[in-house]
Amino acid sequence: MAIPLLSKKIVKKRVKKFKRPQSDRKICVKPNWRRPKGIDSRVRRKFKGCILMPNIGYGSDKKTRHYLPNGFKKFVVHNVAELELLMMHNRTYCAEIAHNISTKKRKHIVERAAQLDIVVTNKLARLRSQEDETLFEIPCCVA
Amino acid sequence: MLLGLMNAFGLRRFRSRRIETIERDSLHRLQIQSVQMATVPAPLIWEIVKKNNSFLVKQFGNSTAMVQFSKEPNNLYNANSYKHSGLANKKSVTIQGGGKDLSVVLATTKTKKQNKPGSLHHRSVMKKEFRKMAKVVINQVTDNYYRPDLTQAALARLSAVHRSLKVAKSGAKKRNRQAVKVAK
Repeated sequence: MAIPLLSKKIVKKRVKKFKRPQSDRKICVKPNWRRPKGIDSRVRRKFKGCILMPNIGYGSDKKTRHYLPNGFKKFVVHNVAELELLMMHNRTYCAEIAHNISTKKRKHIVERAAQLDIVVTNKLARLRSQEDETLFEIPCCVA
Repeated sequence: MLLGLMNAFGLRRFRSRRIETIERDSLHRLQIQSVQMATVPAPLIWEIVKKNNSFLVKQFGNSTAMVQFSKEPNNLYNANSYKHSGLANKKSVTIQGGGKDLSVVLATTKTKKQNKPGSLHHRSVMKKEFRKMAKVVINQVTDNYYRPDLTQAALARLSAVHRSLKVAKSGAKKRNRQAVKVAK
């Protein structure tokens, strides 16, 4: 398995979402972030104990930005030809097979990726063996 | 009046004959040019081709998340850059699996066949062990001053291709967690 080149530790300064102030009071105020703009707003004036506002300081380090927890960047792949592009980049990029690719083609892609030593994030998707599937199906039928 | 005068002196005839000969000369020169075909400078081709071409694979994200790769076979790093581009450079190197066993194909482009795509490549199939193949690559790319700047890229590509062929032949190692877990 290819070892990622990334030597820095990936640090996320904040993982929680920024919630819109007062979204807990009314359903019509959704939690999607909107900057408060009122002249008297406590949140806008950054009072102690208020909801925190997002700003550029929360951004990730450039060197680890867009990296997945496995230390690779992601590249969505639709066929074997697109996978070949990553041949020389298999320590910075990993492949992700696009959602609408059939089982048959997935097999080819996963097989070629093993040869090229490219990490595939979703290599087990749709490729469960036959017995497993029947196992999964039986409880459904009973229920 | 004047023409009539010239005509009378037989001057017009003389003039027209001179023009004819000049035209014939310039036509001849043009034909020669078309046979040799004026070549377009590489930097110009790159400027035209760099933002969009059929080989380019782009994935958009937010500014820095954008990825660009190139599908050209004669692009050693599959990178969309002038140095590695096979479209823009007259001299380019291809390294690919040969299809048979562990053979690797090394191809370089001929600079004088740019307008004949059929016979553009100088292909050589390498079937020997890795060290000897590496020597051939160094010889072809660097030692004859073909593209010395691509030496490292060519060798890296060769080792990647060779490794993939080896894995394809003997199967992935057990330690290799990328091994295919597909029940047949």
